[in-house]
Amino acid sequence: MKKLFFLLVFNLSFAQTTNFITIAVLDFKNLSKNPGYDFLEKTIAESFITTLKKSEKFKLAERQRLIDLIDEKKLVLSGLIEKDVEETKKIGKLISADAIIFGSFSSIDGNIEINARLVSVDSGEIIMAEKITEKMGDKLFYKINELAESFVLKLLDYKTGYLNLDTTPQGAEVKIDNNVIGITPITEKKMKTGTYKITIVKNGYEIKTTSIKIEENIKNNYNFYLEKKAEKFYRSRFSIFSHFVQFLQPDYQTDYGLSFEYFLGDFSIGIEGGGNILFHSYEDKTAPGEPYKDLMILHNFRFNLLLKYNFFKDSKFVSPYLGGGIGIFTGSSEEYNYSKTAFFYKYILGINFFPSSIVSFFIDAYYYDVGDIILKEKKFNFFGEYTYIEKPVKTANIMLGLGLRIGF
Amino acid sequence: MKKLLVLIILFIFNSCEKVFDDSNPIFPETKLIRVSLPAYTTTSDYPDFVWSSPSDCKYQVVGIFTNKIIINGKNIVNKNDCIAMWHTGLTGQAGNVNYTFFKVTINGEIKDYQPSALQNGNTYYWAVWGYDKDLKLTHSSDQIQFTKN
Repeated sequence: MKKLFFLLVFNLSFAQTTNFITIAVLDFKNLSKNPGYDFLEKTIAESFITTLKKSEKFKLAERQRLIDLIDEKKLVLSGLIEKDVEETKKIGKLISADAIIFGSFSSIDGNIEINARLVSVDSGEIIMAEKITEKMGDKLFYKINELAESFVLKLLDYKTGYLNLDTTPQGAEVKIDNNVIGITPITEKKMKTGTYKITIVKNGYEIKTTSIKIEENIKNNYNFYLEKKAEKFYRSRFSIFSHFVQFLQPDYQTDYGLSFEYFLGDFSIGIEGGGNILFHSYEDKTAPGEPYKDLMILHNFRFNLLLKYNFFKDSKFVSPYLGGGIGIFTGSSEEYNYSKTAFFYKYILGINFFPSSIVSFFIDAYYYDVGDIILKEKKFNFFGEYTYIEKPVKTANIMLGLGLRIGF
Repeated sequence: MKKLLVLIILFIFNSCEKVFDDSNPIFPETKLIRVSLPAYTTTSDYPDFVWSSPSDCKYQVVGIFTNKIIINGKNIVNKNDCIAMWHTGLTGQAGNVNYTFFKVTINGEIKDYQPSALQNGNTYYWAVWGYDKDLKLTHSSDQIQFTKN
């Protein structure tokens, strides 16, 4: 039925084996009384022209000729046409147009309201009239484009449906064939029916490419979740750490240190250096009166190489890892008559949180063993200066701790 | 003038006392503990032992030996000559103890029982030494010889 209506409307130009529909686009009239909006008069018209030019089925009336004609006849562009259909028909015929697009805009409470009309030159009938309201800004221009496209769809008598498209988060550009069709949320955008491949783009988020289907005369609703872009992967990382929870030995140990690691694929190699503090307390019950109590604090240095395998190293949230290392352990104390140097090995298991961020943190546990440390405990001597008894202390331990990592 | 003369005499007297005090601690590099009783002779089977207790000693030990105490560095060599010993863990304690509170010492080990009375005609040597809170030997007296009559 619609098609029939259009055939009637455009019978002179379109139906008579002519391949084009000739359209005249007039400047839109500024009714806002604000000369600051005058630029929109031509901008809106240009937007219609650009959209119409995309289709090979339209021929645009020569604009300069249209302007000259209006000047010659001393006509007020849109006002006349709205009031005098006969005059419109005359102008249309003078420029050999099948239809004329014209309209006006005004400013209401800070919003721009645009009215657009499509008039048949032959019959003088208003074939289509649409209104949009939007605040001045990017969204207004997207809506003007949508308005122009809906006129094109009407002229081509395509079957149309409505698109409602939203994204989480909002504010993403939606593109079809590299042309932006709107910024989310897009509401009730009239589109030709069919399946479209769309691209959704938002700064800081992964580009999403997907298909949507527009069905006739219904609201086609889509909602897409946009994934945040993975942070830059930092191949070199510098860490500061401490392990302070132990599981195996009665003598408390803690450590601290710095490390540097470099990623080679899923593996990372690194060097670690730092200190280890051993707290050894004992009692000498042979001392007269109260037992003599002593707390020995032994500070050792450790340096080791490390090799780790990192699972999901690109993950935004967690990256478990496991590995091992070998190194040297050394320490001495004149006060406690103590000295120790030994090679050691360690196994490590941990989780790096937010590994893709420039600053991340990790929790890990390691097992290590530097062999027995011989400590000399004081023993009271009733016949002179105190003596020592040697006490072997085991160091094999599982240590749990955490650290801060900076990528660069 | 008389007052000045008295002051001069007192000064000379005080100086002479220092010259004649030749006590030395038995352990080298320790502070001297002054002892008073018993000295030279005692008639008591259970005499009192008296010394000026230093306030900065955490532990103090009194030992009675049957022979002169022999020292090597900061250790007593002839531990086996020690027949009785008393010790305290109290800081700055009074500085006197009766022989009845001593414990028997055999081969350098303190036993948990009282020694028998001192024997008439025997000569003994006693000394007191003190330790700081880190078990370091910091104080000691001279060894005093006395005979039980």
